[in-house]
Amino acid sequence: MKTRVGKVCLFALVTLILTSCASFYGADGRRGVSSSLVDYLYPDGQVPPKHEETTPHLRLPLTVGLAFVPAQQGTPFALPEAKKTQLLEVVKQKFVGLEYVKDITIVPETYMRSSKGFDGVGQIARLYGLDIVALVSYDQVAVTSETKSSILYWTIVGAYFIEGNQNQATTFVDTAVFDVNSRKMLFRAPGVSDIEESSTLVEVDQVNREAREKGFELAMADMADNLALELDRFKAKIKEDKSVQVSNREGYGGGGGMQWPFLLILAGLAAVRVAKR
Amino acid sequence: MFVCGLWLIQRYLGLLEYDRQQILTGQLWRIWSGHFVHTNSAHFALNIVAALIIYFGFLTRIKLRDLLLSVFVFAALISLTLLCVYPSLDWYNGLSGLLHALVAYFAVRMARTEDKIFWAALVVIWVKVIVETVRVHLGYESTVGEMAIITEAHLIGTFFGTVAGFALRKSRSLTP
Repeated sequence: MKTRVGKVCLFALVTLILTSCASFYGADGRRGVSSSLVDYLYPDGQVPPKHEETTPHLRLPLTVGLAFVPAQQGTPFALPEAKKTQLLEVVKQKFVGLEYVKDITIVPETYMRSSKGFDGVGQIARLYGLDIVALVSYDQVAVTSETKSSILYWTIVGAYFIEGNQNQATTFVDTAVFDVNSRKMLFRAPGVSDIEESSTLVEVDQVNREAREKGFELAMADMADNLALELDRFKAKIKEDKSVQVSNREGYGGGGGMQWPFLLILAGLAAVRVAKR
Repeated sequence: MFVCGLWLIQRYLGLLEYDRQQILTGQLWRIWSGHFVHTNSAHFALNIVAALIIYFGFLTRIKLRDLLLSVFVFAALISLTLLCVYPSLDWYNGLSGLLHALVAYFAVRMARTEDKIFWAALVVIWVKVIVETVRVHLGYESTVGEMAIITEAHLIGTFFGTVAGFALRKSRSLTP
């Protein structure tokens, strides 16, 4: 009897050890990090106000604020602040040369975190002297799964040399550009990326982290391209529908130019004059 | 010849346009030359068409000496007023401010001495200038292509042209 009990215990112990081993090595899972623009601008369940017919008034050249919408505090796998600044710097360089942009300021997330809502955005805008803010929200899901070759992890050595893990990072970023004074969204642009990289078991964490960072880099680059397109559309749109007023302020320049209606009137008067001679 | 000459100097925009900082550091020729260079081809073409209509429609019988003197004086008055009254205006170029001044000036002079139809030209130019100034103050932007139109130059030119037209003696004939 004792022998039988001993055998059962030994079997249970071996099973437990093997299960533990599998649990230890099989880092299979889904990780995510996200920030919500709506939650940030309307915190604590605030309801967005009713649509108002106010017309945003942009005074060129503009000072633009660029910031990530903060994720919930304590979220694991969030990008470090330095990396976020680096990503925003790349976007900034793409738009900093525009003649109607005076300056683009990257707002650190710590400032964004200190106060929420449009009131918070307004405080930051006053602090930095911003006219418009571009808020980047994001959603990233990173999945690590084992491939069939991960069976070789059981050899222990395989965990070091066999690339039996697939690390996937799907990233979505969205930039919404707001006029600070009117609190109106001027335009928005999304960016997406999907990264897949395989790794050995011992490299899972490192490769997963790299895939997540690369996912953000590619999504931000995609977003910057889309933002440039949306900016062109926005410029064309406001010329047509006058949904945004645009004017110049100090430091501007331009030319003295005649326009077609006036030319026609002048031509008419000239014709009358010539006919009377 | 006038059009060809203007076309040839367009390539020296950077050297000739009204540039506040450069004028203040001594490049005084920009006070006059800024009126004869243009930001782009569309800007140039529109102003040249306007200049030709104004000249051939109204000013062919004006003495060349009077015309050149008026250009010299009004170009300087417009630039100096921009310099003093609009310190935030960094750069300016184009013929239209000067054209507004010439139209207003000769409209008043000719209306007083030759033909009453020139009062219509004066009214048209004032209505045009007032409308565009009000529009700019309401936040609308006037542009030629991507370039903002400095309507202040039109207002200044029209103002000086009108004042000069009334201030000078009526008896002096403008035509040869």
